[in-house]
Amino acid sequence: MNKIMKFIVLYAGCLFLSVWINSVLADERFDGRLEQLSSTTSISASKHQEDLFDTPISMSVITGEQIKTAGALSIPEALKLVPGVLVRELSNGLYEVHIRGFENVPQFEATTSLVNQSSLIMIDNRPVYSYFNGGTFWENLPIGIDDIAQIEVIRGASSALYGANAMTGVIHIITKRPSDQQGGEVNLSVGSSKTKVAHISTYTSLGEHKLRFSGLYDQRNRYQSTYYSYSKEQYVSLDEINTERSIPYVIQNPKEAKDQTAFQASLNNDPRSEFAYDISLSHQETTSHKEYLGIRNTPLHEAAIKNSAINTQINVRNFYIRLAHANGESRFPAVDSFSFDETVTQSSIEYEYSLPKWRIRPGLAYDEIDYDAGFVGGKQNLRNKAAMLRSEYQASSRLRLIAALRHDEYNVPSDKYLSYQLLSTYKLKMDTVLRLGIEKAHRSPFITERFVNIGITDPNFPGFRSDFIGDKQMDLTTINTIELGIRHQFSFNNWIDAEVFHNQIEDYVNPINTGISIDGPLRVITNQFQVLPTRAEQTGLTVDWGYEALNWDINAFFTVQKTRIEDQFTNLSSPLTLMDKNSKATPTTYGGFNANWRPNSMWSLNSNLYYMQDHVVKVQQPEGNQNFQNWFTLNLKMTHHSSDLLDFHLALKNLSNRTQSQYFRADIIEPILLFGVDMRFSD
Amino acid sequence: MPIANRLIIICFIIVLSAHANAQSCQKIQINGGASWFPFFYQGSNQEQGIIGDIVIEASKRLGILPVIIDPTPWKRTLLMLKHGSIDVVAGAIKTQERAREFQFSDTLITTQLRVIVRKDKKFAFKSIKDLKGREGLKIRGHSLGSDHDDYAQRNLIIKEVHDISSILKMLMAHRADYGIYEIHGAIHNIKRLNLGNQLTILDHALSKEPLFVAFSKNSECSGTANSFFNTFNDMKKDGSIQQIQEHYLLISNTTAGIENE
Repeated sequence: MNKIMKFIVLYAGCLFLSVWINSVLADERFDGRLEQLSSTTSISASKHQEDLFDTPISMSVITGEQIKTAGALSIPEALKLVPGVLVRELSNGLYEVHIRGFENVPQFEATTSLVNQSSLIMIDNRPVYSYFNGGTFWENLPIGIDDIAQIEVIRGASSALYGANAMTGVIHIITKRPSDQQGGEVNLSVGSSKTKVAHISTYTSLGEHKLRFSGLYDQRNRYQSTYYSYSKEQYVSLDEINTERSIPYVIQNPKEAKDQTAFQASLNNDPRSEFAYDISLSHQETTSHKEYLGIRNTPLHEAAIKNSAINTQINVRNFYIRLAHANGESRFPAVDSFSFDETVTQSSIEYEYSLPKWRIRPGLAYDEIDYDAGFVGGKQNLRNKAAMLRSEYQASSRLRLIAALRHDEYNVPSDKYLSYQLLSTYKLKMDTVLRLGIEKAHRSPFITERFVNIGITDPNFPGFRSDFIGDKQMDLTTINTIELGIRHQFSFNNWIDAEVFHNQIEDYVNPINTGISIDGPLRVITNQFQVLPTRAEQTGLTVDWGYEALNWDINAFFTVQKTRIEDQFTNLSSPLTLMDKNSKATPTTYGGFNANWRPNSMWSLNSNLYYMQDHVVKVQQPEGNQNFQNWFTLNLKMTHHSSDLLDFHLALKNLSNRTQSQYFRADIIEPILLFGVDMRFSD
Repeated sequence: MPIANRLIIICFIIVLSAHANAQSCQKIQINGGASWFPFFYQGSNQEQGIIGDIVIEASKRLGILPVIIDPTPWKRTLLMLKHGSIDVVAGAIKTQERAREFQFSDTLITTQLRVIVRKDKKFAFKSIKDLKGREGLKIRGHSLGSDHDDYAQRNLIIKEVHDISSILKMLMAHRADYGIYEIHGAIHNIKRLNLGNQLTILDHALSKEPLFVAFSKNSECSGTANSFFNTFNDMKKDGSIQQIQEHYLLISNTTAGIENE
C-alpha cells in the first residue's frame, strides 16, 4: 500500500471514529422546527439553494459582511479567509490566487506556470476567465468589495457543472441586489502607499423592478519603484533594467501598482416572480502592473486593460437561461506584440425537472470566443457546444446520490470531452454529513498554445530567432479528483468541516525546443507546442473549524498537502530528459485564522492571519529559482459603529515575520495603515 | 463538631443563598425568535406575542420586572441564554441538546402546520397523501414531523425556501401548488401581503408542535425558573393562557402590524 493510500485510509478511519464519538453527543432534532433559523446557504454546489452544511462538495462561503469585517480591500485579499485557497500578493492590490495548489507544475517552464489556469472565476454565473493564455485578471474585475453579497468557493473539479477550467475549483462571486426600496452606500479607504479606494452605490425601485448602480475607484502605489533583474539577481531601477535591452521597456509610472475605475449597473425583479430576470452591465478600465506571458528580464510590467460586459439571467417556470457578452482590449506597452482584443459570448439554457426523490437538470451551452492579436496571426476563434445533465437522487432521508455529466465539443481541438461529478452525501444524525466525490474536469483550449506562429528576434541577440508554433489539435489538460469529507456540528456554535483529497493532472501543454536550424544569417530555435508526458499528483487534507461565542468568534483552517510530479523534464529541449520528483512550489502547510471581538455595541475588532510554510519555485533559466521562507501576514482592524448609518475604521495590514516577496520575484510586501469610513442610507 | 450541627449550618447557608438569589432577581430579561408571529414579536400595540405575554404576566405575578431585549438572530439568542446574559427565551422547541443546556417549562401551547394554496387551486386535503402528485414549498430545514418527513421524502416534491414570504409569493407566481407553514404566521402574512383574495389555508392540520419557555441555567434569575413554571401552570388552570391566545387569534384576523418586521 503506498503512502497516499495509507494516508487516506488513516484519515478515513479518524473521520469515522470522530463521527462515532460525536454521535453520542448528537441531537436528532438539533435544528428544531418552525423556528426562524438563520444559516448560510449556497447556490453554486448544486445549482439550487441549499444549506452550506448539506452541500455535496467541498466548499466554503464568505459573506460580504465577513469580508468587510476582516478589512479586505479587494476580492483576492478576501479569499485569504477561505480554506484551501492560496493567495499571494505581487504588489499593493495585485494578487494571484490558486485553489489547492499546482502552481509551478511542471517546473522549469516560463513564469506562466505560476499563473492559475486551473480555476474558474465567475461573477453572477458569468465566467471572467482569460482564454488568451489562461488565468484570471484579478485586478480587472469590474466590481469592488462593497458590491459583494457573498463569495462561494468550490474546492474540486467542477467542469460538469460550470464547464472548462473548473479543474481545481470554482470561485463564484455573487453581487448585491437591492432588498429595500431606496438606499445606497459610500465607502472610502485611504492609507499608506498612496492607497485610495472609493466606492459608491445607490439603488431604487421602479415598481417591481430594482435598479442598482455602483462605481469604484481603486488607486494604489507599489511598495517599491525598483524591479527584480533576473540577470543581476537583485532589485534595480527601471533604467538599469533597460540597460540590458536595446529596446527599452515602456513603463509610464513605475511607482503605480494599480489605477482602476469601474462601473456596474443591474436591473432585476423579484427572483420568485413567474418571469424572473436579472440584467447587469459592467465596464472597467485599469492601468496596473502585471506578471503576464513570461516576459523576460523582469516579471512585473505595465498593462492597460479595459473591458465591458453584459450578463442576462432569466428564470421562467423551470427554465434557466443565461446570455453573456464581453469585449475588451488588453495592451502591454512593455511588449506591444502581446496586446490583444477579445470578444466572448456565452449562453446556456437549463431546465429543472422534479419528481419525488429526483431532481433532474438537463441543459445546453454554447460559447463563441474570439481573440485578435498580432502574434497569433490576427483574429482567432474558439467555439464550444456542450450538453449537460445533472441528476440528484434522494435515496433516503439520509443518503443523497448525485451524478452530473457534461459533454463538450470544441472546434479547436476538433475533439469531445466528458466531465463528470459523482457525489454522495450521507447524513449521520442531524449534525453530521459525510460526503464522497469522484470528479473529472478539463482545461479549455487557449489562443496562444493553439494559434501562435511567430518568430521572435531578441535585439540583444540579433543572430538568433525563436519560433513559437502552436498546435490546434493537442489534447486538453485534464484532472481527476477523489475526495472524502465530513461536516459536523458539535453544538449550534461549534462546527468543523474536513476533507481529504487526491488530484491527478495530465496532458500539460508547453512549447518544446525541437531543434536549431539555419535560416540565412539566422540560427532559428523552433519551439513547438506539445502535450507533455508530465503528470502531477496531489494528496491533501483541509480542515476548517469555527466557534462562535457571545462577543467573539473564531475561524481557523489549514491545508496539508503533498504534490508529486511524474516525468518532470529537466529542460524544455527535445528529447526531454524525464524524472519523478516532489514539487515544493505549493506549501506543504498553509492556512489562517480569523477572529472577531465585539466588546460592546460601538466597537468591533478583527484580527486575521494567513500563513504559508516555506516553499520553492523553479522556473526556466534565466529566471531561475526562488526559495520562500515560511511567512505569515497579520491584519488588524478596529471599527467604530458611530450609528446605524456610519462606521469608521482603522486597519493595520500585512504585518509579517518576513521581509520578502510572496510571488516569484515580485515586490517585497510591506505593512499598510488604512483609515476608512462607511456610510449607508436607505428609506 | 457533631454532624447534626454541620448539617444545620449547611442548611442555613443554603436557605440564605437561595434567599439572596431571589433577592438578586429584580428583573427578568426576555428574548425570543425575531418577529415570530404570533408567539414572540414586538407589535405596534405593545403586544409581545402569545408566549411573550405569558412570561410578562407570570413576571408580574411574581413581582419581577419583565424587560424585553432588542431582537437578535436566533443562534445568538440561544447563546445569550446559555451564557446567562438573558434569563428567558419565550417560545422554543425542546430538543435533547437544549434540555441539557436550559431549563424547560411544560408545554405552553401547541401550534399546527397547515397547507396554503391558491384559491383557484384548492383541493381536498385530509392527510399528507393528498399532497402526492403536486409541487410544494416549505421553509428550509423545517420538519413536517418524523412520520410525515419519511413519507414526504419518498413520495412528495417539496422545494425549500428561506421564509414565509417566499412561500406566498411563489404560490402567487404559480411556482408551486401548495405551501406548508405554521397556521398563525400564515394567516398574518397572507393579510400583511394583501393576498387574502388569492390564497387560502386548507382546514385539516398536517401536524402539531408543542412550544415551551426556556430558562437559563446561568443567569441571575435562574433560581426563579421553577416559580415561573408553577405560575405558568396556575395560568393554565385559571384560563389566563387561554385568554392571551384568544387575544392573539383576534390580532391574526385583523390588520395589526408588526413593528420589527
